[in-house]
Amino acid sequence: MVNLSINLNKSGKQDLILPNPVLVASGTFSNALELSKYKDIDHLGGIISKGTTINARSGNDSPRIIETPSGLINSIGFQNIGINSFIRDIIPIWGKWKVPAIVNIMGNTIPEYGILAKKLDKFNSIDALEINISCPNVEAGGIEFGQDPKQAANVIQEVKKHTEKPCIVKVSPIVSNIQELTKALQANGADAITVSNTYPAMEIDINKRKPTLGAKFGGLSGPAVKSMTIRNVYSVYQVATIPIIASGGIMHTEDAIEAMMAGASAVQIGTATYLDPDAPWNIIDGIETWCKNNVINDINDIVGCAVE
Amino acid sequence: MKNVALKVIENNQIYKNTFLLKIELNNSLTNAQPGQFIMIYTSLNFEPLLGRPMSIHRVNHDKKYFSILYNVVGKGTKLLSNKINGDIINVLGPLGNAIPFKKESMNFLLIAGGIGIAPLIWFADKLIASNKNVVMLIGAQNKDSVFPLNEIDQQVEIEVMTDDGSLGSKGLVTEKIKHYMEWVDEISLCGPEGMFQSANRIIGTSKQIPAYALFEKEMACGIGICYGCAIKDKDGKPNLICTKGPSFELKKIYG
Repeated sequence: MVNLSINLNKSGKQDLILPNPVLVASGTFSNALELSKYKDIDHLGGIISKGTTINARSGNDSPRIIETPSGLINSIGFQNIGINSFIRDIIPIWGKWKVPAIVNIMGNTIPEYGILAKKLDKFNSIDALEINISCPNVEAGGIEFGQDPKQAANVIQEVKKHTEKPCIVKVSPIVSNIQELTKALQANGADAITVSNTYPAMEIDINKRKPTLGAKFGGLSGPAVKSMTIRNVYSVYQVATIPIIASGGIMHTEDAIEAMMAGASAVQIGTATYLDPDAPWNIIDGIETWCKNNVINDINDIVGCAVE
Repeated sequence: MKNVALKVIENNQIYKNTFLLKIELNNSLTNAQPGQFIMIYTSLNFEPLLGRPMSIHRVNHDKKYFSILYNVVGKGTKLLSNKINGDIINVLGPLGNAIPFKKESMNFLLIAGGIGIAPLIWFADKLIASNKNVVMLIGAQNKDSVFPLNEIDQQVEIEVMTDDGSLGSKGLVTEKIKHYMEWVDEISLCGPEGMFQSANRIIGTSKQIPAYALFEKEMACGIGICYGCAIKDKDGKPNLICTKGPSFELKKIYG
């Protein structure tokens, strides 16, 4: 028997133990209801909701998706049902599942993060929050919270004031110094860090002579970004005292193993699920097989083993 | 819902830039209905990355295949056009919903613009099999880009419109709609959105007849998880084409 379970919150008040290290990335799995019709959700390492905001959002105009060389740019625009509908319609369903359940939250202002955390705090079926800080800070003129370690620290402090649940911070990959950001987050109460969100990107339609996406800009994901994910996870691991979750371009079992060797305790699968709805499940099985073939009894043994 | 590898039976260019691909039928696709689609994966090495959403053109239960009608427009469809008998191709489906219609309706007007004819041929087959009256308006660029008319059920009454008048009459396919407004019970459309808008203007000024159009948008997953294919209705509310559509009533979208 290979031990695949990992603990994403060793130091915090509540453990966050995943049965295996494979999560589904926020925004790539809706709120899990669609695939729950066909698949055993409880077999996953954990589910993460769509980015959830105070009010429902209808999202951006189309096109919202462009295919790029081995990649995908999306600009969905945080289409989501809003926190109150999430609590009313989704949480009761999630409550019947055993799978670790994480809600991804996003605010326009720092107080909004606090409100979202407070609303979710009372639900036992929610195991953790993932905080998206790669979004514009309306009060600070639209600069992303995650671009400034001080602002990012303020967000996590505000969230922590309103919840005892483990808090995972999902960072942008394009920051001036990801190690400084990591230090600021862990010093201010972050329990784990997701590395990372998508890469800012755009394309121009040369026939129309204008941006292809309806919202002009989007985020790049898919195999094209995997090597950058590995680099960022490696850098973060060098200074991290909290667990890392790798996200970005993990398509196969081997990519997941590689990310774990770079320092990730868990991985998120996103774009791969678009190509094959079985991808997260296949990667779980693949990790187990890989461990057996390589005589690894505990998946935790490979975390960070490649970091010098 | 599983991404499955199926065998290509035939893949031929049947007119201008348009190919007919026949793929072996599996259990889940046996139950497909007109209006549903599949994701078809043209490459397994991420180049191109995503599946292509394509309407199911026809299902042949006797010969155990289903078919896809597609234009070669980019990398993915170019690769698809190179597939030959015996090749294996990955497919997910059937996805989305059947074209809705009322059992009691008798007179159906189907309006096809360009490659939008793909799902309507099969819908016409089914309607004729249920003893309905079917008129199909076919719009195309010119005579070379018209679907072979002898492949359409003979009981379907056909009118062709081409941009240059090289086959049928010259003009837009929607110009013909007004001649059928007294007769028709239900309308189904598939083609470019410009055609839908123009049809909605014509239908909307007359009596209220249900008119369902099959929409498409850039789509990464086909199963309701990427939110790429949302179309906003007249109230600004987003609807996912893959799970709520692809057929939507014109007045719901355009008012």
